[in-house]
Amino acid sequence: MRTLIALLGFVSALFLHPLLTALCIFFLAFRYASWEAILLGCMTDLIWQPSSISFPYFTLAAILIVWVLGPLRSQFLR
Amino acid sequence: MATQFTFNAPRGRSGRRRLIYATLLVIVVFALDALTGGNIRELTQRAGSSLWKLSENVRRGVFDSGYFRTHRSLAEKNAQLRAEIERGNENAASYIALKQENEILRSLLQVSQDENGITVPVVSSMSASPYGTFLIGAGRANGMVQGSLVLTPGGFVVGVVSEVREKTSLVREVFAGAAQADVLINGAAAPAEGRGGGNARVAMPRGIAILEGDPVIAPLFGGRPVGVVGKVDSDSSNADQTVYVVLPINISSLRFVHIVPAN
Repeated sequence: MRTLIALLGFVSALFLHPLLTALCIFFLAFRYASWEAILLGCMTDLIWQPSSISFPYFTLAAILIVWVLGPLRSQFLR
Repeated sequence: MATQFTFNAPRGRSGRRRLIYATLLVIVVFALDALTGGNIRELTQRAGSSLWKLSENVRRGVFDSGYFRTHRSLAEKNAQLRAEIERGNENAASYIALKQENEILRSLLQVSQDENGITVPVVSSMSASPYGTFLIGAGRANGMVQGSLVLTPGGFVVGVVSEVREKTSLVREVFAGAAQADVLINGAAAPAEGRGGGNARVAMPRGIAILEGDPVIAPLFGGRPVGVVGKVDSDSSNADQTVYVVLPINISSLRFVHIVPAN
């Protein structure tokens, strides 16, 4: 399941819609201690972020969400 | 009632360690990218556009194989007719825009009529970017310059070249989400708020007569059109009317764009 969502996220980052990519990042971070979510955010920013936007928002959001949801995940999810 | 939650003892540290490594890796990647002047970004963009081109070739290969011929021929005919309608719409809108442009703005703004430029392919998805960007298959090697205007075949400005790499360039859409651009509609100026996909919203005083199909012009882009009025929402209880601006062509169907140097 984790691999499938990560793959969907990578495909979405290249070909589909950014909302789907964001959903994949959120779901991965919510359910798993997912390093894929961080790489997915990083890849999205490296490909699409223009220089006029100073912060890599997808990467920062992915890192934040993965770490913030960590305690919740370890307490309640197997 | 049985409890819905379970308490898990903290699992091994391997997951946490991987997260730390991934976080550090990402920080290193961005630092290296900044130090090398965007080399990592260029590599990623090139890989992304290669994958996109590969997927396009595979898609064409599958549908050209004959397996989906009946369905495909209908779909193709449908797409062809749609494209023709869109082209017709765009040409009509383009004609009105150009006429008004020639009569009023070009003389007022003394904009150069010179439209020297090159036609280049779009080499990425037009809808996958969260920043309202897309990639085109021309870069420094083709004489691309940052700030150049990106036009549809009908002459509507769809974006501005934001970053130039060796063989590709990143284009930021004029109406990317949350982007702002000053526009003129029927001679009245107002800021347009981008909503992505070539759409924008403009708040204008209700007294100004605006009709669907009116051209929307951007003085910043040499008085070139950036869209047409798609819909006008006017309410007698509100001093403003909301004007919805659209591109007369489906942005996702763009395969080639015309690049002209900014004035």
